[in-house]
Amino acid sequence: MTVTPVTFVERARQAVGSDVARSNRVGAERLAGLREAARQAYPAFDEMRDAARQIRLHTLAHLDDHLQRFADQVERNGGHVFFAADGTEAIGYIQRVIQDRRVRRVVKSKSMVTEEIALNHALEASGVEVVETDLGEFIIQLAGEHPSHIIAPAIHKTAADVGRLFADKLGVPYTDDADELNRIARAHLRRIFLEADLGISGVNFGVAETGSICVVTNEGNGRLVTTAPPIHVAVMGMERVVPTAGDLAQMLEVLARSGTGQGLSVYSNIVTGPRRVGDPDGPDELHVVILDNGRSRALAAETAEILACIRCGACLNVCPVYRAVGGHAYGSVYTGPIGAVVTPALMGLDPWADLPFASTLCGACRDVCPVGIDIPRMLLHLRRRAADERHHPFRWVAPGLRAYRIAATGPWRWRAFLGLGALAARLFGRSGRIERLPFHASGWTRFRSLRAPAKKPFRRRWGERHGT
Amino acid sequence: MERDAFIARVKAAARAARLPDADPPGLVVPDLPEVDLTEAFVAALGRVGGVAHRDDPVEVVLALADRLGTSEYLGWDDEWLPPGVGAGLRHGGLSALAGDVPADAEGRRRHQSGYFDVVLGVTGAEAGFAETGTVVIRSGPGRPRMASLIPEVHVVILAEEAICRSLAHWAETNAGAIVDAANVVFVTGPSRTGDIEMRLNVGVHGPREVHVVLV
Ligand code: SF4
Repeated sequence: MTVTPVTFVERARQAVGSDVARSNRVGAERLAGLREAARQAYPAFDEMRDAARQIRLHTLAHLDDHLQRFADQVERNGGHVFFAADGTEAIGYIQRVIQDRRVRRVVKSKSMVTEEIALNHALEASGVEVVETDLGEFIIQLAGEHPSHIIAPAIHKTAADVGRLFADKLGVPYTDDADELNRIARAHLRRIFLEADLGISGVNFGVAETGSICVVTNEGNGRLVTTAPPIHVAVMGMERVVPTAGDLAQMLEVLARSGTGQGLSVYSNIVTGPRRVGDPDGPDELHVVILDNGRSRALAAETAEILACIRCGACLNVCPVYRAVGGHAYGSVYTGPIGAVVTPALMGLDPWADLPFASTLCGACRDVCPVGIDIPRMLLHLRRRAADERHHPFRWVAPGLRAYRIAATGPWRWRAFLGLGALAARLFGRSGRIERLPFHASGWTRFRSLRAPAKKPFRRRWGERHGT
Repeated sequence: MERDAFIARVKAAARAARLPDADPPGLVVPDLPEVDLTEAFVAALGRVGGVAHRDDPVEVVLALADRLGTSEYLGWDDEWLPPGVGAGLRHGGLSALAGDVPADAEGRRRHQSGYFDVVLGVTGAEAGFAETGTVVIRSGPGRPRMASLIPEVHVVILAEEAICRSLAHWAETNAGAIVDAANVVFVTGPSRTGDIEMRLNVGVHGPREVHVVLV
């Protein structure tokens, strides 16, 4: 994970109003609309959501048991399991597999968790070629950028941008025709798939009862990555298990409807072990890397519920802050409301203390979440922690509130405090509006003016009328 | 990290977690409006960009091969397709490509390079979901995964009586069957992406066209 050396506010300021943020918003609004249409078209949606939530919470409460069972089953099916405490361990294991098998070329399908541990970067540094195959990720990789949306990583790029990029990097004639661009990508990536030495995928769900892993894609690259190369390495966040195959079905029922408004994604690909005796194709070797990387820390804290997330992206699409600033402002691979919780929950508040403040707490994210995660509650919790622990840049919150408490807990202190306010109003709000406040308060009036407080305070008027 | 240490850490965290510990409800099979399963399947398939056929599968495949200008297909072995389909295709001039990939890395690469130009795939399916237009495809001996994945055009032969109401309805009785193969895939329409300006585009990696022949 790259830590960008600026705060959320600074990144957001750069992003607001930019073309990138605009295309981002259009995309997010479209996805939100599709989700709403899917919800209305499927009468059982709310019922399915409740069940999905129960399954996820139950799994987390007994995560150790389900993980044990899952690992046993993967091994029984002939796969290898590696438990990685953090990104370094996960990368180390994958590098060992790569060296042992003399792997030169790796194909990958979209996976947040490998982004989280910056796997590509590490593998490339050790001299292996890593090709992202999800069209959006492929575009992002060619451009040397970071994804801005967890479902649609290149949501901020126009067809013309992509055309220029392809012309530049793939040596094809420029076109901004989306069909043609798709064809170029298909032909280019096809050869790479069929000849790759190793495929790396994420895991949407692991099934404890059967040791199966499910990889969901619309493009089909998730299937190619798990079918064509002789070795398949699946990297799974440890929270991704569900107890049974029936539970998997339940999760699939809500995942695509929430994310993109589809009834099901185009491919829900379920892999149970490497290729079996007599199977004509598929990988001969399967490795499942189960990753903690801060998850047990998040699980033990008030943020436990965030691990129920199935990364559908619905909360991003409805979030007014995400819509305005886009994904890059979050500075982390996890963006939007889910990112504002998950990033500090996994990686600590330092340097992510400002992310929980990147929200209006309107609650839209909680309303659309297919597993009913109360994101606003967790944002508030993280805000309190950020203030308690005096994380920059919110050091002033705790002393500020303490000063307020002192002022508000004694009648004469309160009167004096209000008197100060009235004085300030007279100083700054002569025309009935406060146009500009000085120093730290200037942020309140940068983009708007405020109505000045009444000349005669309400308390005085009340007193005059009722004679107290 | 050692497995035991890892699990111990997770266990401590899970015990510390303040989570409502509800019992798992099991699969909820929703009460969906009654529909004619075949009609609903055909409509749903159309919505996701697939095409349904009611004609003889051999004729459908031969017509597609003709349009694509190909004389070969990658598909399931004869015994896994409805009786007579494999023979019919050969009789119509189509030859089946070998789907068995060698186990050594070099052999695999050589064999799979031959898939680069494959445009036509023919498979069966063991179930369909009326709600979403999905087909369930299970791999195994004589049933290569590549047949439904690599070609530009994928023809699926599906028995009408195998159509269920939805994924949940199917899973209620068949969920355990998922483990019976190294690969089971639910396919819902042609491969698609919205990654360039959110505009729908088909066939970026998987098949550009999905034809379901109901028998
Ligand atoms: S928090 Fe909920 S809505 Fe947001 S990505 Fe996760 S599952 Fe989807």
